[in-house]
Amino acid sequence: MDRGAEAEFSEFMHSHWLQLVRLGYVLTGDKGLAEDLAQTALARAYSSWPQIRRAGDPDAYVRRVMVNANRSWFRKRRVAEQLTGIIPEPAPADATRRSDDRVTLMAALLSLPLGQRSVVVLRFWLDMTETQVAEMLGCSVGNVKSQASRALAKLRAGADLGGGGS
Amino acid sequence: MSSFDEQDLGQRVDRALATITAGPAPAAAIMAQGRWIRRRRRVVRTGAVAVLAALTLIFPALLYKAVQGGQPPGPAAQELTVNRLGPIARNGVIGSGTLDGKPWTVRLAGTRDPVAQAKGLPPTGRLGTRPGGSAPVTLHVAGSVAQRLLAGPVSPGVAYLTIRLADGSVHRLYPVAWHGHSYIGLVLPWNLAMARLTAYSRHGELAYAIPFSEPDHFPQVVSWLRPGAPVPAEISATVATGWNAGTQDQWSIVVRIGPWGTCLLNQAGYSGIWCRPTLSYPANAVIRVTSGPDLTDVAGITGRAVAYIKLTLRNGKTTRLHVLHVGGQGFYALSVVTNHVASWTAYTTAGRAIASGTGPPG
Repeated sequence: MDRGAEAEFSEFMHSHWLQLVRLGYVLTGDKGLAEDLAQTALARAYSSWPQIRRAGDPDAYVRRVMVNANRSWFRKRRVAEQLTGIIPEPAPADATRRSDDRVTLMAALLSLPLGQRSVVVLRFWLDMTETQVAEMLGCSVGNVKSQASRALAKLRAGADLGGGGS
Repeated sequence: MSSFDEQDLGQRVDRALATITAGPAPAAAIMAQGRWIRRRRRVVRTGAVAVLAALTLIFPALLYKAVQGGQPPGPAAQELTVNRLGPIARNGVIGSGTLDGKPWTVRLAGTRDPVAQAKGLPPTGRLGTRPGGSAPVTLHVAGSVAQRLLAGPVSPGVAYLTIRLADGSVHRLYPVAWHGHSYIGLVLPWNLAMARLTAYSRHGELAYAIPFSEPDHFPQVVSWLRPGAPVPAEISATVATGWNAGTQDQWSIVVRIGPWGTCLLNQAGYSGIWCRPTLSYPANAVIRVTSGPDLTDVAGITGRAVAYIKLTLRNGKTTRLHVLHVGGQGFYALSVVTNHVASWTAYTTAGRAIASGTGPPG
């Protein structure tokens, strides 16, 4: 890889690291796994960076690797550990109402099945279209719609998301 | 669900995630891991091509026998059982059995155009109600790194199918009716390839398929052969290969023709497989078979008369693309940013233009 491409990748890596870790956290519910997932995705991107750069959408590539890698990891670890919907570091007792909301929302998100959680994160947090989400998850647009609908119904029921902002 | 709710959810997730912090990116580790992936990919690619070439030269009959149903030493045995279900699906169940003693069930969801589901696996796409063309069954595949879910509609004339796996075991699948249409479904371990799929009517064998299987990819079943018909010879050739400008990254498109049909393999950074039945295309046909939003490697099939393709790029430059002819079909491949190509024209060996279009060829 030439120096220009190397520098470009380095900039991409540093500017996207935090967002990728956060994406990984929503997907896995574990900060350590989230960092592993982000590292795996970026390493894969680095290994094919010239092609990814020419294709013009490295964000999409890295996200796809993360989603797919997590699905693979999820299958392997699902027997050993189950997502409980309880985040590992609960808010302190004197937390404000806003942080209660955050804790509640994260717990509700983590309690969703992996497929529904992936759809919610990609569709509503990363603002991807239903078609893009379907392409990334390897399923139909109808499947994305139904997963999103079911996820939102559960989130509303479980995390009191029916109202407005915080 | 109103759009306000959806937008609000995105913002709330954003706020919740703002509490997640991370140290600096482990740049050295990421790049070292990336280099290792690149090296491993090159070694695997080089080794696979060398082994395949040697085996094809020395043991062609042996290779085919293994695919046809010899007893190759398959992967670690994983015992699969398949139950015979009633003719009508109860609660959408079209397949059940055990894998290593653990039960699996394939269930349809939806009535007119169902999807198949199995516990712990992603659902398939929409199955439709009938197989495509004259195929006895159209298989849709979904899966994880551990298992694959296969399901699809079955033609009304099919009484049952058998599936032979790479470990030599044979399993019989009876179609199950769901809302007036017949389906089969089963779960297989990821590392146990399908060696042969055979469809039977009440009177005997209808057709068989040799799936195209590559490690880490779903099996491809696109071509069905009638019993007794000549078996297409196996041909493997590199369509085109090259180095991306200014980098050490090689791209390579390989074609493999055989009883499974015609498959193009992208052996570059983005590995992919595209299979089609082996057909006799019109002499001037130019058909792109690669797909994907972020693919810069474009490959396709042409008719017999196409000798080369001339590309006109958006910057005004032109480039000539060689067409490789094997097995009665032509193949082309190139690595290009697709929106950099303005138009293409296909020519005969005599230099006569016989087809053209805008964008990348095909």
